[in-house]
Amino acid sequence: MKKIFRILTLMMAVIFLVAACAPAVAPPADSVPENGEDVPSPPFDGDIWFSPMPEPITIRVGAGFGVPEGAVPPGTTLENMMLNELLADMFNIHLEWMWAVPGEQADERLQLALATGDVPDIISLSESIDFFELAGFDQLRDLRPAMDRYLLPEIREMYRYFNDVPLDISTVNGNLLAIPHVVDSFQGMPLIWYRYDWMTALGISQPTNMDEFQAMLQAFADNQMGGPNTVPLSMQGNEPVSWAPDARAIFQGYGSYPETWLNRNGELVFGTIQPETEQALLRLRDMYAHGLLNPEFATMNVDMVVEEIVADRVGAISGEWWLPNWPLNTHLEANPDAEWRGMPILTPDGSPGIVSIRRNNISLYHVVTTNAPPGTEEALMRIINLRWAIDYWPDALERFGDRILPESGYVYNWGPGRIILAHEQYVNFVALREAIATGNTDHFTSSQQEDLWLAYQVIEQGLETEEMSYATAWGLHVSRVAEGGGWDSNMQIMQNNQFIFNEFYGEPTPTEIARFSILHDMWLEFFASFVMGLIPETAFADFVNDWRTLGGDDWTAEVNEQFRELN
Amino acid sequence: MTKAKYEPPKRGGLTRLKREIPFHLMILPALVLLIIYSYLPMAGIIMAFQDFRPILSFENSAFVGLDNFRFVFQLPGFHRAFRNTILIASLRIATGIGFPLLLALLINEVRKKWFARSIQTAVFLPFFLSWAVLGGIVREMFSLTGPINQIIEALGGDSIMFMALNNWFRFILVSTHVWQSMGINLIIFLAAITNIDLAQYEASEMDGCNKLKQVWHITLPGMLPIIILVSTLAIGQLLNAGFEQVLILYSPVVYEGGDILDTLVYRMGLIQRQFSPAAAIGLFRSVVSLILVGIAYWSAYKFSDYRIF
Repeated sequence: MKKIFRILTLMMAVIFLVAACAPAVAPPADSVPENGEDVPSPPFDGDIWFSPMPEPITIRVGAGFGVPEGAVPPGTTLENMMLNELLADMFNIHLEWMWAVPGEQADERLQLALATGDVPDIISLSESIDFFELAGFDQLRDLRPAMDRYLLPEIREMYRYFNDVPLDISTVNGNLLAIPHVVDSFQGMPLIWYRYDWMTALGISQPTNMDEFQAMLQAFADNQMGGPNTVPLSMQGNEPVSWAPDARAIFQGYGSYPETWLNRNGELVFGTIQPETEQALLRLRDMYAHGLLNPEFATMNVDMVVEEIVADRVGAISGEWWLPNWPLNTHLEANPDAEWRGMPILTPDGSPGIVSIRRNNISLYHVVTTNAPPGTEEALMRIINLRWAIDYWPDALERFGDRILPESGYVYNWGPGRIILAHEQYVNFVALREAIATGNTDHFTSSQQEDLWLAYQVIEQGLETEEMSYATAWGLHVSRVAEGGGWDSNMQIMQNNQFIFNEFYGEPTPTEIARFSILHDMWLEFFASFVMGLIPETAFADFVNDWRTLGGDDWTAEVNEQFRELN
Repeated sequence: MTKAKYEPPKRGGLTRLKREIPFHLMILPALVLLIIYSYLPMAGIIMAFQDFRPILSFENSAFVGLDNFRFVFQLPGFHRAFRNTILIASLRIATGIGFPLLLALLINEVRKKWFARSIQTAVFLPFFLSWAVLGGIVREMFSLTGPINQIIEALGGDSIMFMALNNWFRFILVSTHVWQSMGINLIIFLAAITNIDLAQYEASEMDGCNKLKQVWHITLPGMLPIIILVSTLAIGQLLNAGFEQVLILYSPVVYEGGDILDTLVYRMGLIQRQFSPAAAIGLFRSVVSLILVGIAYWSAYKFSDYRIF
């Protein structure tokens, strides 16, 4: 507990420190853009981050690809895209493509490569289980020396924003085995989005606790605000804890955190089977019985929820900060009179709700395998640096030339070694707030910030422009910048420490591998049947019992053992 | 070696072979595909007896004997999935033969050929659509606010949550499968009917048979070999309850009535990466199917003296 507190304090300190300074992402000031040359010489002459490899190196890679974004020339493939040429010219790094398959087959192809032992030198692993398995079989190289020497300082700085937790997770037995591509855990917190126009039309004031929230939903239903098939609270019932409109706001309002490992006095417990979950489930059951959920909500997936929203039938959803940018803006296009607003999650007694976020926020592990040629670790750092600079440096075009344009065949989301600025929302928010306060935009560091500024002007200053529709501007502004909007609510949750961590991030345990799908199925089935009232009100105890005996207890014991080892 | 007194007609065999070479060549591509896609992957059966981990490959994964089978058979969801599979598949087989047969008999009696043909085409159409497309249509049709429920309400009934209630969900699976796949069996049965000698009908008319009696005594017996063929082949499908269809239509709330072996394997194997138990279920399914087809074939031969192969 003490340690957690320390981490939180440190995290807050970092947040405020970063907030006080200018945005973290800015190139060193001494660099001089080169103009008038067709083929730019390597930027940062004598600078270690972009120095060529001393010897030419051939690195074997394999990857999946999605639809290329931007105006990429037709016929562009992973094998012939511009990144290959850039790496060869700038760094003497030659990529040899072992395979290039459509994204959905990428995992299968990788598993095949692992099974046949013909593995690439650099892999971007999307699953923790693969990373820990490769690490367990000593298949990965230590990247620490290469990172310390060659990785761009601003990427290191980003990890520091997350208190270096991503690097800690990637460190096994003292060796840093991956350069993690992280996403911001703070992006995964639920809020409540609701139809402000319906609420005001009914003369209701903003609810402050769970009862008032349910009363508002009841009023939406009774007055058929969305027609005879009004859905006061919409959610995807086939996966009640996910990324999309789900049931998290209700659960977490009750201090219930299903599918999350919670630290209770140094002991990890599984949130699904805690008593708070029963309270939240009873509330949902009551809502269902009163017709406040779609009667068939349990069969619904994300697409069906979105359909409902766009059809103007939905009064409220539980979801993350970005929802205004999709699908609420789509709804706004269909019905310009709709007015969605966000609010923090509500608790039964009106006290501030505590949300949960993941401690492990790694979405890709960039690794170097043991059979790779010597120097691959350093080469990976160069690739990461270059791609980062292209993505985020405002003067990238001047530095690297036209070759980084999509038209030249540079596909920014293809190929190895991409790392995103994970706390980008935070950086943009701070920059935009400063611009709004001072009216000055000189400090902007990316085109995204320019877009957000335009959106702000469209929404708050009535600017009319052909560059951006009202719905698009609204989605951007309300999700990312607006007061009381998505990110603003997140900021308040962060600053007020209204969050807890999903604590477990270790290797999947044996019982988890064997039993997870069973336990997960059991939970999904129980959730749906219980809320729909198909099983008795007292069924929670039986569910907990089954969960524990069918592997849950073993899993918990293993998780705790690992947790003690890791800490 | 002494010369044999009788020499079999070699020449005849050779000419026959020569004559048949083009036919064998025509089979070849199918045979190659069969070997590549059906026989070679059988080597993967080894996974069912291993604790298979891709990183260790087949050679190095540990052999665990029948552990995977034991694990699978005592899974809480296994018996339910097995029961659902048998139940849904049997209903699919029964309705998948019964309805097209009935329809074929009816269409055969239609005088206006254009009418018969348009029905035939309309019935055949959904066969060409994948469940990814049909799933959306079915969900829409049977949703609480969909057309089927509107009809029920208009007739004074209460609307039904077809997709969320276990008993109804099975009914949806079976009935939409019949709707989707009826066309192919319909064509087979209609073809069988056209093969029946018309003279038999004329003779029976002379003897004073009505339509119903004709169907019973001429049409059905005439179609029997085809009906037996279709049924026997269908029995091989007894453990195949339609993976794609179920996967697209089901949700956790109808696992009780709709979860089948394939979807169970899918959730375990592909989502949870338990390759070995998934392979064990797959192997179990194949072995049971093989035995069932064997029995069906043998009994068709034994009881109606009918050989398929």
